[in-house]
Amino acid sequence: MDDETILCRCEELTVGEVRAAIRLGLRTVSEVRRYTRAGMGLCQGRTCGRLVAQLLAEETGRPLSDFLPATTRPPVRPVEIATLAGAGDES
Amino acid sequence: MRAERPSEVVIIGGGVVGCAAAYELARAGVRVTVVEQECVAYGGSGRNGGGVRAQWRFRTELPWAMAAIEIFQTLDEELGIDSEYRQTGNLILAADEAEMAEHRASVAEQRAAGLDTCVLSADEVFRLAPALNRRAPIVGGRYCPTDGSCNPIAVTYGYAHAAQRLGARFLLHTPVTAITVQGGRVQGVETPDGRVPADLVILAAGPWSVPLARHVGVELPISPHRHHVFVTEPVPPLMEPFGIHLASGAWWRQARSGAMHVGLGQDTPATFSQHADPAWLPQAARTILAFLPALARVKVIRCWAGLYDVTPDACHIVDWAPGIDGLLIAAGFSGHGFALGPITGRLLKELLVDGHTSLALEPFAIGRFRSADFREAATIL
Repeated sequence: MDDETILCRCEELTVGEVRAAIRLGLRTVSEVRRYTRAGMGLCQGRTCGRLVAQLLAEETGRPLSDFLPATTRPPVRPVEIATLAGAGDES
Repeated sequence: MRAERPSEVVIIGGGVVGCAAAYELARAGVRVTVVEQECVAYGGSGRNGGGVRAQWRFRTELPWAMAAIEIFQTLDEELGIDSEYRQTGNLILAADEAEMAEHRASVAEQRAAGLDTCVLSADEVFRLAPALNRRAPIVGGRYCPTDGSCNPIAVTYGYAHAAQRLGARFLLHTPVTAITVQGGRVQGVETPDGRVPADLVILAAGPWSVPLARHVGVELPISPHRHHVFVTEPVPPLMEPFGIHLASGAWWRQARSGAMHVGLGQDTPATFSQHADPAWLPQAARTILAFLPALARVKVIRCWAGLYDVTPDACHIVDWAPGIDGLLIAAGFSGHGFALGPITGRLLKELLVDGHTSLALEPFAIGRFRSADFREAATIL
């Protein structure tokens, strides 16, 4: 993957930025997410999670399966606060 | 207790206290190794609300909080990071006149101690934060303009990386299985990869400090309590200050990205689980909508949970472990550890290298829980 390629669209991070973070010693998808914020935006890593895992595998020389699946956080899809509150939908 | 400068320090715990202490000690030329069971900021340091507050702190903690804010003001430059630290102010909302009376007394006391904090009428509250619901249970509040917030993960990693650049060693994904003590003196710590020798060990592992201390005969009165946070998609600027409503246990802040972070304190049984329970979300959603109705159509994108390491008076322990030469406890921060982390790291370095500290450690001694005039905390904030 090219360093200039956008890896996480939500947080506007390039492959190079994430690779540099991994070279600081990060060793899990969750560490990379927390440190770089890749996968912390609206899509919650559904687009970039696998790419982060691939970069980790490349950089550490370990199999991709070591880095998957990454932790997912509830709610699995974005939900409106009013819906969560059970406040009903007036529209 | 010991007088001479340590030659080899092991810090158990890669949270903000451990990483700040590692940075300060490495900067003073001390050989230091941080041993962390998971990754940097894995526990409360990576899961808290990022609040950096001095107002409404306990009397004993206030000098620590004020000194910490001084450090935060230049920390990005010092560590070479972007922590998103901003002094957005802190607004505590009161639900009734009894609370207002407490705030009036506390504001007078804290102002006398040099903190810029003031009491606000309900009108002043709504002028300061027009997004607040006028029908919410708010009779007034208090405000401190120098309080604020930042990204706690960035700060903790900032300390860790700066410490590493100064020569500190980090053993990550390495659990300490035991603290080694021989003849009443600390010898180091045991890990699955072998012993890490040290003549001084700092136990800064939050609630996980308890079993490690117990193993060497030291009982820490610290109990782990889980707290949840949710975060929304980014929204346009809604409310500048960090908001707290004591009666409902709710707090919220808008991060620099525009995302709203919302927490709601709950009485839960003690647990070491940091697992986020989605059943928490509806109550938190109803509570925040009572204060910020404009959030109704805003989406929650994630929630998580972390642990407070709570002591009976909701204040931390920074003290030598009784009966063990060379074991220093820095734990039990009771939800205040992130904001106090930078000053704690600095004071630990002062204690170990300079032999005296710029702020008193006595109020945080482990023996206080047994003293005749000991009082439990009424609220944990």
